[in-house]
Amino acid sequence: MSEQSAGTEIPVGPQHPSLKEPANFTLNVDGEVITGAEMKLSYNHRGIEQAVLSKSYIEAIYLLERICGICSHAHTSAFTQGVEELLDLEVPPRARYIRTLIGELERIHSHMLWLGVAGHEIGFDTLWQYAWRDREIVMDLLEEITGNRVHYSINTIGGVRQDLNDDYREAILDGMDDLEERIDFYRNTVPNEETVRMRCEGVGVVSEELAREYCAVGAVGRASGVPTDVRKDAPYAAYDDVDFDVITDDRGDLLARTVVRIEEIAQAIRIIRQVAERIPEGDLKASAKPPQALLAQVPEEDVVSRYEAPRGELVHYVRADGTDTPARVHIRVPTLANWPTVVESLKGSYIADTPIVVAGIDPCISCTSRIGVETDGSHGGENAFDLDELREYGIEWYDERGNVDRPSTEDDGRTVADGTEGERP
Amino acid sequence: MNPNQLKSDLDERLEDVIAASGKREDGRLEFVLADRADLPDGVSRIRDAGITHLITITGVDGDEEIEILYHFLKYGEYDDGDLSEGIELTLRAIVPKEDPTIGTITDQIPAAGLYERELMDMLGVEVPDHPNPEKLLLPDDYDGGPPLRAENLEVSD
Repeated sequence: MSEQSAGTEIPVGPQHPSLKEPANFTLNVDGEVITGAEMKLSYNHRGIEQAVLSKSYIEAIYLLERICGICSHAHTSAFTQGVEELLDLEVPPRARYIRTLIGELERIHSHMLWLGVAGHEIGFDTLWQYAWRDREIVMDLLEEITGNRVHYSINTIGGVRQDLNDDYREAILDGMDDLEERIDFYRNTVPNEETVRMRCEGVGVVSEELAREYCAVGAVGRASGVPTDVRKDAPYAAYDDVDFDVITDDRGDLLARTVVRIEEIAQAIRIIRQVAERIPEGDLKASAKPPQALLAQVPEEDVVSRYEAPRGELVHYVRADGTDTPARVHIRVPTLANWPTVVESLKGSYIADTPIVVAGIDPCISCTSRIGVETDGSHGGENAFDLDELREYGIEWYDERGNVDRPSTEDDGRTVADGTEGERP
Repeated sequence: MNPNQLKSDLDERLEDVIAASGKREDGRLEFVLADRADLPDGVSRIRDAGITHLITITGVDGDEEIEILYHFLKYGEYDDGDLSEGIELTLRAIVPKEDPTIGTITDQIPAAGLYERELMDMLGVEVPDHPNPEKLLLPDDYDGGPPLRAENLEVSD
């Protein structure tokens, strides 16, 4: 903990200050200004990395898919692409296009979900309802194509399990037309809307230096001017064949993260149109035979498989030992990579900003702790806020004050190095 | 800089601390540390070569020893909306099971702080100089032994 953090301590969580998942923040405050923050994530470990070692490669896909209910396709893609690399399997172009399509639909649904949550956190529930209503366009398409709204289970080793017929293609293109209209509306209104500006502009700033120092990924990194995007930097699936831009912003605040995500939805629509129009004919799987024979003896080797999940770079490390079960699967989710930036950007913010700053990285706790559920009763107590209380507090606090000057962060000795250091109080 | 150029550059920089190096089919570079004590030094040389993004730290229980893999990324070049391909590289350190300790790199790369805590939780590798060696993923009162050690992976039907 940094030296200047002596003062009042406020425990927030383990019921999360902004999402319905458990994490704990201990905030040190001086009046209304946060001077130090510590976090704790260990409330929801599910042992998936251990469990997967007793599963066959095919079973593993379905287990890993359940790491997350939002970016489920990201996990299965990262894993199957890694195993395909180990087996030297060539995935047919049509299958690669379908993976790209589902991946981008998933990105839209995740970003729209986030936009709604962000609206809710700042007390702008109209935006929340609008964003979630429009998100249904993609959810319906995903259900139509794959049969499921959430766990699409479309990936298998060597290809995909469902084809895309012409009716679906039409439905997708129509859906994208409707969605584009809505996104144009958000692009024009959200960044200029007074409530959004008041609560997001200059709040939770992550400088480029800080983003690089903490190796931030995804929209959080890009909104701070760090251009990283696995779809370009190590293209997989069909990203080599489609045109799209990597969106960056150099402001690094919550508004920048909002703008970057909205613009990324626009890029995703662009990609989906290209995929739906150009999808090549051909097989769906690398081989007509079931892959079990190949999977009985996966060569002794390891692979690092990277995937641009909606929240940023997702990494699956897979090691095979010549048997039909993996010897090690290590998953680094984007939320873990972005946590330290939350701790840093909380410092110097108002207490009332906590929910939106935490929500700003689009955190996914179930991904991050992955892994029996344990509730540690030692935190909290009478003075602890739960989610709803803190959110209400934030909204009321701003309502009472109208336009608030940002606290100065110049003299508080904030450095990039003290975020995750020091003894826990 | 392509992967081959980067490899020869790093081979030179890391010459006296690595035992082996290689390039994978998918373009990933790999360097194996001769002695785990040289880890901080090796990482600082990699940073001098302009590679500052740590992807993650993976611990793997081999039979006799524990392998610790430091995955880095050299960013691709960004040019107004377009990004060129980046280069992945792995620095591998070997740690014996009877003395599973490894130096910290959190002082050089703050992002490593969380990954080193994960390594301590899941593989029981100690990182003595870590600034905040608290549990990260496991509950505070967990005492079942590191979940990803081979002895804790026995499956009973």
